[in-house]
Amino acid sequence: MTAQKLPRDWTSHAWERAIGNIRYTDDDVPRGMTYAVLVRATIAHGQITSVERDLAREVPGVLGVFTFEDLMTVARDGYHGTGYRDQPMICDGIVRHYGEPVIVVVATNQRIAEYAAGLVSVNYAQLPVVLGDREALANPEALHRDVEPSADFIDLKGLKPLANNPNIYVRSILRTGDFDEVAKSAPHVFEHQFSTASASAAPLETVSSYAVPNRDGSVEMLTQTQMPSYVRVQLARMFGMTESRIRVRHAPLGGGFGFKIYARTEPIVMACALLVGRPVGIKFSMEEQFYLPHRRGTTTTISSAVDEDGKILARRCFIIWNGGAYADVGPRMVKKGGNVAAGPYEIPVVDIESVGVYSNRIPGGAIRGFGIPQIVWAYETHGDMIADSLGIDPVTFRRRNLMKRNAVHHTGTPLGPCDPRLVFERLIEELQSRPLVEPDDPELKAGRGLAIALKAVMGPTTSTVKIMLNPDGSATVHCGTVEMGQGSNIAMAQMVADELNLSLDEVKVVSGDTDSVPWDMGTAGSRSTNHMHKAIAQAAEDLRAQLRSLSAAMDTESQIGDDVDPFKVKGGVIEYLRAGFGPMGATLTGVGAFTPDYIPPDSNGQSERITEFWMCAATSVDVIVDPLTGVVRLDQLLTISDVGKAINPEIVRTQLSGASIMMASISLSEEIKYDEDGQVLNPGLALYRIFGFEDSPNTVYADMVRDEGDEVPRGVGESGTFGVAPAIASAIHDAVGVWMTDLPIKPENVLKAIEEATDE
Amino acid sequence: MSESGLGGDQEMVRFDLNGSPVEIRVFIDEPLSQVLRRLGESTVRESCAVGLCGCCTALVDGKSVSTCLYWAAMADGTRIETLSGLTSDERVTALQGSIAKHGAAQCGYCTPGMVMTALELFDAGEQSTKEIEAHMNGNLCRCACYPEMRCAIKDALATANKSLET
Repeated sequence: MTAQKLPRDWTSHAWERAIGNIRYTDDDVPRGMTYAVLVRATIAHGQITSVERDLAREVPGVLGVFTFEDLMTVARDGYHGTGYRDQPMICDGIVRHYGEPVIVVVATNQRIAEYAAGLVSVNYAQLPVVLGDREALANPEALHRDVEPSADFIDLKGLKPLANNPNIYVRSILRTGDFDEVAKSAPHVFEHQFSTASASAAPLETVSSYAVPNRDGSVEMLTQTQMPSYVRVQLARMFGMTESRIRVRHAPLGGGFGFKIYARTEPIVMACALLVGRPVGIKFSMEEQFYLPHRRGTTTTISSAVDEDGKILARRCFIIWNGGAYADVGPRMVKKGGNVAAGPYEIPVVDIESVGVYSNRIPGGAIRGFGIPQIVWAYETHGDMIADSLGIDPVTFRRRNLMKRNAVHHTGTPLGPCDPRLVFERLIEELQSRPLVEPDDPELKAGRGLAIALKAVMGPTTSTVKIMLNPDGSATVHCGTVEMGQGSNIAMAQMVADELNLSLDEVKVVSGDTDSVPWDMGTAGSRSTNHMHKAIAQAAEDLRAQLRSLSAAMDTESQIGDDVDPFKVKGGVIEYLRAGFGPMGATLTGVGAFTPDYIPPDSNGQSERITEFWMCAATSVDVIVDPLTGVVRLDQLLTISDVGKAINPEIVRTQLSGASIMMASISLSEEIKYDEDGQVLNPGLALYRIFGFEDSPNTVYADMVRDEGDEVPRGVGESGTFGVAPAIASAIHDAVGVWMTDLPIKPENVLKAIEEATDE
Repeated sequence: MSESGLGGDQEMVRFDLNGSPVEIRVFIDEPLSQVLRRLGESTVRESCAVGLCGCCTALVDGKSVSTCLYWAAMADGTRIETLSGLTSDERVTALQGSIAKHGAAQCGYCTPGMVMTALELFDAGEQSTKEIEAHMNGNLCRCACYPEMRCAIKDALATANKSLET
């Protein structure tokens, strides 16, 4: 590559990418790879009645044409899932969503596999298709029977579908009092309903997985995953192998966004590789990628009892999460979304019911924000509509209601160092120096909106780390955090360098291989930097203790006591290593592990410790609306987030900014469309439009605040997404006086609302 | 049917890739992106496969092209450049430095394509932000580094134009 050498610092992250120095998964496909292509269901619900695959089998180069039953000959358990094991590797006989893989064709190359897949014909007996949120809730026919809870996660323990409606696979309650009682005597009661559509994370690096079976029966998996450790656990369980015999490798990801979590294509290629005895890979096209789990659509009904001054007295929410055909991350999302559905507001009485339902849509998964943006969309727009009705400006309305510093959240868990007022006031301060744009064209209308939100980190999960202190005092860190654009490799190196008093050049981070890197639950839910930070501190402490005992072999004045940090003693580390191991020294290994404390909530959703930490972010948006077309353009997008200590402030800003633009795209442009039969109408980027340069706001600004003395990094990747959609809606109202309640906000709907308002 | 795959006719094509002659057998319906990847060009990345995202951008006879929509067979006799062949191009290294300075790459998957498309702007003289956006609009970034990339390109162009003046 180029001879230009930059100092290793935060800019190295972008530089390595700009020079094309990063090798992604598909750049290093293992030798001898054969390819699997999936034959997908052309209906959304029904029973497979027959499969004709002889023609495909006869194609030269085809190695196998497999059904679920075939895959099961090498698997012990063909099902996976985080909350429930309801997801079969491929369709198990009942098709539950359009595009579900029903047959796998393996051939010596992709071209042959695709050709042969076209020769497979599958016949179905169709069953009724249920797509809508309320229809799914009212569906009398259970889409699944006897689903088995996975029991992998402590926060998902004891899951059980509702006895009287098994399509409701999770129901979460958070209740601190009787809403109706308060509402009866309240001066004002407001109720609104909000919806969100399905959307795809659509990372530009489309999903791929490659399984290589070894002669000794072990398997090497190269895959695009945010959760290598968990993928190995799932594969070991499903294929009855010890984890030591499954090696999961990964490269830096070309985008993750929560799309590449848990087991996806890995069980399929693993089964195929074991069946044909050769390396088998899957590479999805962008179009195919749209059949992987989506951001789930929601319908939220939210009511508030409010006094004359706009103080919220009580709030009730009912949220339906349309989970699609398989529960996937739904159980956790339904619970976590429900927990924060009343917003970062001091409300004496909250009453929240959050339900996840099966339907015949593509399964709901996670996208950046993990359900929180759907929730914030409802409570922040609702709040602005209330303020508008009462003639209170949105800033004052929030100042009257926001949780204060050191508040206890509705769940009973304290906010800790996370201070919503600090975040909010920083946003207001920033806005004061940024007047609303005056459009050149007098027909165009400008408006400003804002929103604020709170999210808990992913449930209690473990990060471990191994730091090898080399004989020369430099360090090699084995850390399972997955680099997917957030700059984690640099951040991890910096955290270790800080602990060990080293320069960044003296620290190397090793990741991407479960054979050498210890457990990390995953790079998701804004957990990894925080948890790794704590694990790294522990590993460094482990090294300090070892160095102290090595120094015991030295003369008395060189020995170090408990009050001295051996890493701060100039030239000390090398001397201690030599004292212990001889003139060349040797490697010391320090290990650290972190698992947050967790107290499961009671039947009213109360717990003193439901999360390790909270994240708060506020967003403001300036829009320019064309009242003649309903087209909404973004002029300015501001994000202020409390991320705790930012390891790399510059990279944190780009993360916040990128997250907010991505969410602006989802809010204004993105919707996975279904026809009435459940067929997906717009897979791929041709008909599903994501934001480009010209859609991006003219000005984007992101900054961080934190409580004084807060030295712990918290979450970054998601918080930029939280408040974007309601801030846009609020800005549209400010510009043209109409409220939008359905996402995405489409020009035709804005126009319709303007026309209706004019007619009145 | 040949050993290397199914599906009809193949053709021998010859082109210049980053200064070296290449002779390769391609399917007549094979996109140039796939052929370049077969030749080890890892900075050419196929994503949308319909010419909308720009990840597979390369220069064909000096013009930026979405190689996923360009039949390899049509590349016969052309001169093709990818990012890996432009390591000593001063415009490229300046832009790469600017991208680093502005943090204009997150996952980085789209970045080489962005650089290839932006190269054409160096011949176009002074550019307004709107003009840069219009030129770059065929390159998508799901991490949405658009503001940073806008600044990175603008900076690199300004520096290049300044050095032309002096």
